[in-house]
Amino acid sequence: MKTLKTLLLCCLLLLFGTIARGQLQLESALTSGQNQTKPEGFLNMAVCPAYEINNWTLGAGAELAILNPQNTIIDAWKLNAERKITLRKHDFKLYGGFYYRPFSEYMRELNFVLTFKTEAGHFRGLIGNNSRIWRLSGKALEQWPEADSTGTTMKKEWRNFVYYFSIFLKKTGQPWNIGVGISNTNGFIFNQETTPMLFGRYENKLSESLQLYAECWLQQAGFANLQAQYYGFFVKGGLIWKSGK
Amino acid sequence: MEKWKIILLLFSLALTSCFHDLDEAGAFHSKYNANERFEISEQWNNAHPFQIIIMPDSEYSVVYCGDTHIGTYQEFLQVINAAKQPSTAALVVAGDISRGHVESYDTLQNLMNTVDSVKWFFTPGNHDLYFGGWDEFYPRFGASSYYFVVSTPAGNDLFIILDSGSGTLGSKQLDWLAEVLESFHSSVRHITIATHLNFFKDGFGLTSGLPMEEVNVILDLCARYNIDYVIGGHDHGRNKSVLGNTNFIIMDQCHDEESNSSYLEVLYKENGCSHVFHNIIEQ
Repeated sequence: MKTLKTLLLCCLLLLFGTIARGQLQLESALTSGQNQTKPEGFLNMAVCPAYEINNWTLGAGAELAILNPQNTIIDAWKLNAERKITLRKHDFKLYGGFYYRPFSEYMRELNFVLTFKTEAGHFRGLIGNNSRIWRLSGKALEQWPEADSTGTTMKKEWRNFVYYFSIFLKKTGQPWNIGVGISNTNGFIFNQETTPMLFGRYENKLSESLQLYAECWLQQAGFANLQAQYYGFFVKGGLIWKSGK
Repeated sequence: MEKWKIILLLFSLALTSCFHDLDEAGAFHSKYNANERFEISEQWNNAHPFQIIIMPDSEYSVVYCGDTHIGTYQEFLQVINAAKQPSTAALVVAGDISRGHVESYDTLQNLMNTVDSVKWFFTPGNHDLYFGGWDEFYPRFGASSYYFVVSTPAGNDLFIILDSGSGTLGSKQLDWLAEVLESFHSSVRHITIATHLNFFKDGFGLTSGLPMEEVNVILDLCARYNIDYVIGGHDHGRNKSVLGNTNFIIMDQCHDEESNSSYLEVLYKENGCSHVFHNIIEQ
């Protein structure tokens, strides 16, 4: 028992020592908008803490549906890790994330995301893959107990191309910046690659540790592919706080 | 610089002429959106109550095809003939029936005027809506969102036809779908939904689907109301997925200019449903 206590104490000391050398980060955002599934509007709040140490960032996050939830108030949550790598004096970030969305009493959406992102001058870009799995909930399995034996408990979409391309007025690192872009992902949303969204983003560094941003996103159904029409829009405002090292 | 502008212009013109059936302007804006088409369809539905097809046996079939892209219609004619079997209740064509041009609609309407022994049901796909195609579709074929019922001695089956031609069902059609399912689900044996777009993707591809929030709403309805089949086209390549109780089928095309065409026959029985693809023999 004494050995266990000593081990536990050593672990805690190591952990605190590690935290002292790392950097905490907290991003919180409000998203509000309207689309064909929620014509009366929606309001979501996301809180995403992260911890950065050496070249790693480990994070988590949850999105709460404050107005018009599809199923539960916890709209989605995530766990993620990011590794900064330098290739030929240029920084890239390799990102892996797991996203969970309990969008129905009967169904869950799981996303496994792997992306590669970089910034160069006025340009910011991200490409990667998202593997999506829809699976039956426990309640649905009670309704269709035979689904387990027939292998119909889940539907997998292994390959979805994820992208984010944007161009900004100023180079990275300026006190404020404004830009436009196209992407099929934002926060907790991962569309199929053929459903892009257009966006504008404004960001302002309020202090060394605090940054504010505001985004406006337009969703066109069938854009550049089918007979396109308006699908929805949302605005997102957020704050990113980073502790001093 | 001028040289490049000329090259770009010539390239654009060449591209446009290559894709005579693509409505480039429509890829950015539609004359009628899904909610407007739904409202017009509801006017039609109010004036034309839903059809009830009475079948003498509790087992029967419904024939489905899509992506006929008329033009020519040799393969589609084979499907129409297959649907003339006495045990077949109806023929459902799940979009991209025409190419959106007036002459394409004329050919299709002339063909359907000769078909009198088959109950057929259409819904538009994106190609049917190109070049302002809704103005041609609606006066000739009526509503794009509606339902019909097949009545058998053992019970009734519900068939819901949805309009997904512009990449979204739209809020009004989604509400209507939920209402129809709520009012019918406890009194019918089987429920089938047919529409042009499919919900799942099999790998990277250029064909468009519905936005994810909308897919999730429909998946919830499928589970909640125990829907048997969701049948679509659009991808020109067959695929089948099962999630819970629902079979999600993507059909092959049924287009004279492409090989490997087929149509789908779903057999509705007292204790379940099954389906089979029939390959179309090129003539």
